[in-house]
Amino acid sequence: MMSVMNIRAFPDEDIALYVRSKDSETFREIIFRYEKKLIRYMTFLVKNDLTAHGLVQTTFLTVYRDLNQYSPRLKFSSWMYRKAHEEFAHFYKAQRKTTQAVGSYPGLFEELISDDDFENEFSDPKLVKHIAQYASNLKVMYREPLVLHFIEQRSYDEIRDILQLPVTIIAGRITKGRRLIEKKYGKAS
Amino acid sequence: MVKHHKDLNFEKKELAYESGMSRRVMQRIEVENIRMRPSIVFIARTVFLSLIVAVTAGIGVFFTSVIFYKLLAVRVFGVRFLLLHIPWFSVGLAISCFLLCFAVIEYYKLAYKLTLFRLFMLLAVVFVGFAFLLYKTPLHENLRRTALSSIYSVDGQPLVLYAGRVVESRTANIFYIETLRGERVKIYLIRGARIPSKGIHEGQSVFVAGYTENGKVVARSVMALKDMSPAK
Repeated sequence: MMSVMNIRAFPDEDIALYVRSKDSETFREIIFRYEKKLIRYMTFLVKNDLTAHGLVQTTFLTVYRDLNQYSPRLKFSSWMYRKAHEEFAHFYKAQRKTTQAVGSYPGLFEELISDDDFENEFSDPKLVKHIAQYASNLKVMYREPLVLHFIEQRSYDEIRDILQLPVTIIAGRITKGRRLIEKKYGKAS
Repeated sequence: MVKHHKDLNFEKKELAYESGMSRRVMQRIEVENIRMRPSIVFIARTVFLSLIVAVTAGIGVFFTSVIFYKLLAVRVFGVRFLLLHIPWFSVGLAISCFLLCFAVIEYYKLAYKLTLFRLFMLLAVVFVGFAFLLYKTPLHENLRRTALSSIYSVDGQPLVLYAGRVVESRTANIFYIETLRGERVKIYLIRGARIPSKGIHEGQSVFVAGYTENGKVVARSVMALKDMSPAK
């Protein structure tokens, strides 16, 4: 007989497959795992925490509706971020002119990375703080890969699957984004 | 292929976590009766897009091969000739199909791992490569003959036309020609057939019109042509 395990021990992919074929209530676990990450990601994109909450809520509903589209060949986290990106893209097309820092307040972005749940395993903390501070002033095309790489700690391959762009373009945008920040606000000290 | 879930064995009470977000999302799923869309919807979408790409590519390859056929099959070269004989209709359709194929792949991110340049080059290689292979098959020649047969006929039989060089002429009413595509065809001359006044001799370029009977090409008319060797 199988031993009872803590649900946190199961990978996202197993939970997703379980939700779609057996128990939709387990979808709560997916919300638990991704809520804060997606809100942080979305806030960096829309520069407004209230709008970000709304978009993340819609993202979860879309994810639930499209769960049968998920293929385990892709990392589940990449698929989740992809769905969030699509939600943002719809919003951005509709509200192209209001993506200025409306609704943001001083310290909003630094606050997002000072959360206890924020895990920084790969990057220099000073660099992450620097990017969190100034990435919001960049165009979306540079801001999004920068946030995914330095704040959300996604690899280039994962970003490729999320944004559905070739790795060379992603690498170019990340480098250009960093250079723009350094040129305007100096290097991370 | 749909991967089935593992039997996850966990305590249900562990799902007790409920943030505002979780509560709102689960409530909306229940109240708005949101259901997961069946897999067939996504499979159908992928199949539909793949079909569009395949059909467009197929049509594009066909028209590209028509360009090869029109320009290379006659083996006459030169800028003036090219300008006069470029099959603009096929060129237009081949380019349209190429662009449509490219646009569908790019818009629906069917090959997002490739850069635009690589995708462009890959499609170009596929179009030109397959078109060249198709040009090497007798498809266009057969299509041309079928089209001509449906327009013209000899004694109620569909007309067949061949142009080539006489390579062997052993008897008075049987000779062999090698067509421009390198095909060797045995020709039977029917009694009363029109032939060149100087007769038929090896090395002569001829145009044969006739019909097929039990797999044999029976000529009703043979016309001598000027030398058909490529222009120097």
